[in-house]
Amino acid sequence: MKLGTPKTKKWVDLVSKYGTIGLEMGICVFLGVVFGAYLDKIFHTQPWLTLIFTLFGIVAGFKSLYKLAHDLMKREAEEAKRDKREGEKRDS
Amino acid sequence: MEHGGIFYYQFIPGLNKLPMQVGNAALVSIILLILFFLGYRSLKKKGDDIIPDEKFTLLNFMELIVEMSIKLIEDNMGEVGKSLLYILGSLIVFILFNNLSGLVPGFAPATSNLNTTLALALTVFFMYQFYGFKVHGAKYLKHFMGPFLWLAPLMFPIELIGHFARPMSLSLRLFGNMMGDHLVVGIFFLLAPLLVPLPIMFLGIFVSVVQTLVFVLLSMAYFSGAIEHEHEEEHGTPALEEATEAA
Repeated sequence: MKLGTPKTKKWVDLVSKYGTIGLEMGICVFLGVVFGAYLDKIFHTQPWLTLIFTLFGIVAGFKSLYKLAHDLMKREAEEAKRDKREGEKRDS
Repeated sequence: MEHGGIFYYQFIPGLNKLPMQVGNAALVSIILLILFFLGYRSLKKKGDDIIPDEKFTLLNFMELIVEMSIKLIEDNMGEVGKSLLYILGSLIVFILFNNLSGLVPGFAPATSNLNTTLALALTVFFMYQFYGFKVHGAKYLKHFMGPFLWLAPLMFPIELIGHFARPMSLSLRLFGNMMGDHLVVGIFFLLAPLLVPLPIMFLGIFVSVVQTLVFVLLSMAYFSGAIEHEHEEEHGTPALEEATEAA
């Protein structure tokens, strides 16, 4: 595995970014449920805080998905811009 | 993992009473220390002579590792990365050598135990929160508040859950990959010791390197997320428009 080439670098970058998202969404929901259940135990408000924090966890999971898509789109736009600029330079 | 057998760390006085993952991590760290000390000494002996050696020496190997780490960090973080070289470089070397030690008989990789990976991930977690507070001061809390102030009560628990999910996913990924690989090699070795585990061991080398890179790349993403300024939300839509325009 050659680390220096741009293709491998991009591949590793994409694997590390996309490979995260499944685990992270699941863990967000799990953490929401655990936080909610713990707070319910302290405040004796079963089952409301569990439900609310489960929703928070689901939203947090989707927020990390949104952030990933946002970052990747921004980087793709930058790359497209750079390609375009290089193409113009080549044409002129 | 709870299998018997003889491990190298059991022969070293002082380490033989320790749990398996701690003993192996200590042994790998000692090996790393010796390697880096020898590399440093030969670098010192060489002085200002910049002509590389004719053969592939230990010094070349150590220079390769250090230069690769520096290049990886600078490519992903820019100039800021230089101040983080110590923690990120130690993470790279420690995780890589621990992962690869799982393929050598007589070592049980420390990273195939959840305790070790959780310790590494918690170190990264606390370090990036600390750097966030160090760079931004109390304004770092704005990162948790979302784009508008009236959304803050809603966004704060969401961001909190998102941040706590990070060390968990970091540690679980490294642990799962390394333990899975170790287990598969072990089972294949039990079934057919001759030549059959070889492809799985090649896969093990691959998984070791990739998981090291994934851990460090994600740590770098968290560090730069904590250090960077919160302007992204405002410029969010133009970037998307540009993307659609370009396409």
